[in-house]
Amino acid sequence: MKVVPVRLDERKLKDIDLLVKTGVFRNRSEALRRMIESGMKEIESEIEHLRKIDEIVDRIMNTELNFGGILRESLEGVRDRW
Amino acid sequence: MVVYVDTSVIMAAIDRGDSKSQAADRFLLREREKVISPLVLVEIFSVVSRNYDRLIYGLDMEIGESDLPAVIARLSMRKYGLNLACPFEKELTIFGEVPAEIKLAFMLSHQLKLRTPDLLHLSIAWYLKLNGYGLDRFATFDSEILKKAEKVERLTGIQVFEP
Repeated sequence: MKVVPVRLDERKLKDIDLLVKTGVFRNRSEALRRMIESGMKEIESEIEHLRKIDEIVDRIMNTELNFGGILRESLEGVRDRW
Repeated sequence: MVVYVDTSVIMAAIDRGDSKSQAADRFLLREREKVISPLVLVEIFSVVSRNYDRLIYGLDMEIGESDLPAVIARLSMRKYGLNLACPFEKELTIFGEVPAEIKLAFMLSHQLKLRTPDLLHLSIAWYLKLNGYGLDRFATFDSEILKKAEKVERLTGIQVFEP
């Protein structure tokens, strides 16, 4: 495991210390690790999606895309229908 | 200072076949602080989805129909360093609570008489200006918005221009 410095406001630190003091977690480090793990689980599917999309983006990043101007033309059409 | 980038500029920049592509590309590479809104992303998704068959023909690789809009949006954000701004709060109106930028759109509508998306882009930019984003410019190729540039600047202090 690696050590990462994190800045927290007083209020959050107080809440974490309360959880440690009451025995919910053994120490601040464990409390933060468990909360981060739980937060990461919530956005797991978004991270996976981002990975997949950015792999494709990496492959076409330096490609000159030529769609013959249809993107802006179509945008105008979409806006006109509002 | 920060510039709001309208969807029309992004669409032009990434499409080399667009007559304004070079101007848009140069502008986006030159500007330092650029923001877009969720509405820009929705428009990219809408336009790309509606043209999937034509766009995929111009790409030399297989990308699924559900992935292509996100690919084009992420490509634009990464290539040009576009930051997504989404700080909106709710505000009370006589109709009930609405997103703050919608309330601003109500205020601008009778003065600008623009199409709904144009009005929403401007009201979002105005919201960002009023809420400490340092936003003072709005870049667009949309002729309807450009026609109202003077009025927009008088009402909101935001300079609307074509890159």
